[in-house]
Amino acid sequence: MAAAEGSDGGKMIVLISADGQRFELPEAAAKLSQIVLYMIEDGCCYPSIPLPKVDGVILAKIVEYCNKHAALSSGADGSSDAASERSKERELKIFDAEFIDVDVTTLFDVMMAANYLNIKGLLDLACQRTADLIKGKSPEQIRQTFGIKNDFTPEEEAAIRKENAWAFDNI
Amino acid sequence: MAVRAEAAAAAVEEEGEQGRWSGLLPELVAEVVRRVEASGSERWPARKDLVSCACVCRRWREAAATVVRPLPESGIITFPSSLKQPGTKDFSIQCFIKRNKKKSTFYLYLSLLNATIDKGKFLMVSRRFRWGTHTEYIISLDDDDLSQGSNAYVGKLRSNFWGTNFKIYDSQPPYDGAKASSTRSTQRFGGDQGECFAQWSALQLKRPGRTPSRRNL
Repeated sequence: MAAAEGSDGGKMIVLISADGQRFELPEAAAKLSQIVLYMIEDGCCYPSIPLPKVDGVILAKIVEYCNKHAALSSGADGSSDAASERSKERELKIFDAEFIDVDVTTLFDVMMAANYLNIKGLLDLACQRTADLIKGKSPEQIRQTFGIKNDFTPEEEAAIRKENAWAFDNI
Repeated sequence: MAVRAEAAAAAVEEEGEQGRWSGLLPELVAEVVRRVEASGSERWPARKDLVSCACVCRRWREAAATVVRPLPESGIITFPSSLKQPGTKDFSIQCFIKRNKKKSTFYLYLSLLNATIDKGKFLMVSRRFRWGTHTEYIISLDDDDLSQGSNAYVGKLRSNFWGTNFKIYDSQPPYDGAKASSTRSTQRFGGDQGECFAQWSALQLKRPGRTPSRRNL
């Protein structure tokens, strides 16, 4: 199969998720993933790129992120005046905030996929969202939020309780 | 039947989710902790979020230890273990002491604001015990627990009868921030860590300055 072309004449890349779903997106969007970028540069992106570690539901989200960011990245539509740059930045900020407002299971999958595909902006977004969820919480609340097992021994636990009581102490 | 199957499925899912975040790659945990620090936790009281991260599980504790730079480098107190690290060469850390004369207790706080009304961040507490010819100051992280067997026990300061010679005893070897284990024996019989002499003439006999006092921790 020859390189597919999108409606705007740019090349299209096809990604295949672990469960066999096909996602077609413009090359500029696909290139936001460093891994996909290398595959494109090496010419091994046709007819499609299989991504066995990412399932369809998450890949759909990743593709949505890449499409939006590629479309709004600076100079995508030829305009480069400061006012339109600022409004694009605002739009991306709003998009990002809504995009990452997901349950912790999806957040985890998005973070893992962004790490695997090496999409820096998305990985930053997912890590920042996780950090925001942590802020203001006690260790037990963090464990509950993310379903993390407390694997300290009873002796370590006793020391840690003191450490934490000290951190929260307001005598 | 269907309900039971559903419950089983939910249990499996919950277990799966437990595994999910528990298995987060250490470098990603470190990245998250770095972001917790960068978004407001450079200072107290928000810095307690970093301590919380270090108290979640072993993996998170190790990640936090790689992210939080030690006191001599950063000049920031984070964990109780920071209190036993040498201070920075270039600047001092502003603290103040509150006294409770009735209880012979002294509270050391980290200054948070350069203002007269500053609640501060509680660092440690010391209580004075007089023993015949000498005086001991038991130092603890916990206001309610000044026993030497406690995890909160930091060490003690012993002074001679005249209050001119002070020796400080550490409860345990300096803590690396990653391991939380400690044994009673090292806690109880920690070594002599330092000594200081105060020479006051009879006419100038004074207690160390009242609040606020500047200390190089």
